[in-house]
Amino acid sequence: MFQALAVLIILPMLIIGLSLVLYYLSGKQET
Amino acid sequence: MNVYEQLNHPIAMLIFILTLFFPVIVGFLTLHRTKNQSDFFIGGRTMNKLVVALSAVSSGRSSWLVLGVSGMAYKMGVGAVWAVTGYVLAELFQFIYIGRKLRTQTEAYQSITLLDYFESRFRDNRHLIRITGALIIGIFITAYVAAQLKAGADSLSTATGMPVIASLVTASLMILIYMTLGGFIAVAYNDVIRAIIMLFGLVIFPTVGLVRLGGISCLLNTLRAWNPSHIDPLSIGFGALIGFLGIGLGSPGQPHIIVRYMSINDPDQLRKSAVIGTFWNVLMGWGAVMIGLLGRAAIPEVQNLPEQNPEMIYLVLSSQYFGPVFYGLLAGGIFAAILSTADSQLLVVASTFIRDIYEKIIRKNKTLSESSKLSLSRWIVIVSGVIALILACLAKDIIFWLVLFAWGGLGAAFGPALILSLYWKKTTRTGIVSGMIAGTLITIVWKLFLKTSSGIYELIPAFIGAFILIVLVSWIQEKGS
Repeated sequence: MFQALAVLIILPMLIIGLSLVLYYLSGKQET
Repeated sequence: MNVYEQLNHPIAMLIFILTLFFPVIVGFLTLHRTKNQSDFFIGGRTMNKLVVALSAVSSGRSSWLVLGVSGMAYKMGVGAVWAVTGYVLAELFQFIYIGRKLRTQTEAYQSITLLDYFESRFRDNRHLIRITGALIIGIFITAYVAAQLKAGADSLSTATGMPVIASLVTASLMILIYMTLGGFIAVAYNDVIRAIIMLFGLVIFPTVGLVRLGGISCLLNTLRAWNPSHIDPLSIGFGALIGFLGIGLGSPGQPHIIVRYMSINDPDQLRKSAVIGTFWNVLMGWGAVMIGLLGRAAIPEVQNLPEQNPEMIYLVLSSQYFGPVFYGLLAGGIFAAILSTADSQLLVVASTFIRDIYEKIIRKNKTLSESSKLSLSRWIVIVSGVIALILACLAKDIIFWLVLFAWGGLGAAFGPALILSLYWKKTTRTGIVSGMIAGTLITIVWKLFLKTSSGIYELIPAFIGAFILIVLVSWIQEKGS
């Protein structure tokens, strides 16, 4: 049950979080 | 049982028809913005971050997401999540690490197609890359377009009762009108509208379903009581899990997705597009999985689905959950998904014919005026569309056979080549051509002869093989010189 909740709820949130991290990091790289 | 039965309601049919024909209006509205060939094929590099983000995610997803992934989740359970995880992650990295570099370089080279870029990047005066790439695009993407048109026409025919041929002609004609008028700009804005319709279907739908059922815990408990392995994300096995994640390897090699990055007004804005696109991709992907899971909880036996086909779960549940207005919109969402892929791919085929073959090879010593280029581009869109339409009518067996290799073949042919051309300065022209050919051949051979025995998705060995071959050939050439 926990595994199912993890991939259905936590995993998508982690991916969106990752997109924000990459957004920040790629901006820093530029400067 | 006709899953489109609810379309008999006049309001549902009206909404459904509006979702089908609204794109033509967009074509007329964008006509004035298409003044030259660059506008026609890459929107003159003037598209904003939102349009690029939504256009990239909706043209990248066909009915495979709406019907395929929901059907997969119905059949396999929570493990279907891995099928969306792979491409969502791949496209996130693509926006930032491939898109930005490619956009900058294609502007410097004044490239308007992917093959234009390769030729300039490797100073390929003999057009080896262009010819090889054009052949791969010509075969796989034309087949892709024809298959999408056929799939769209079959559903349209079931929905409206029109004969398949009439549906095929209607769907093709509609696409061709707005594409000929507004080119890439019309396609991109229509993609945005379709991304919104798809998101509506794939988010509102499962939300309503979950509320009705009493929340996600109730859903998972119901599924566990029916079959505990259905809620185990690892029950699909390690091989299938890697194969699902490997679907993402195909994304960087799809010219119709890649060209979106080339169309943005400012390369740096692709960072924002990455966040918007990922958010959208996540909502759509996980929404499709939730629909499949809700479907299994509502209708546990596959025998109770039309044609015993799990891919029907989206339409069956829509007709159970919603009234005519929403149902019309949700059914329209399927066509939105199919047509947003078909039009983007058709534009790639047309740009390959006119730009890569006619202008750069056949008429390479003659200068064409901008207005003749634009007018020829419009004609070639019509010709390519008619070819795809004829293929969809007459050669559907060959088309569906070719489409089996299309995502993998394009992914392995162009993905490693693009990544190495952007990130490894020592990559050579011969390396790229070898990689393109090897990627395509490994995909076909693996799928035909080795997939069943190995259980590995063909794109994974093909991508790795093409990557290694490009590095090896380029390295040997460099040592030799």
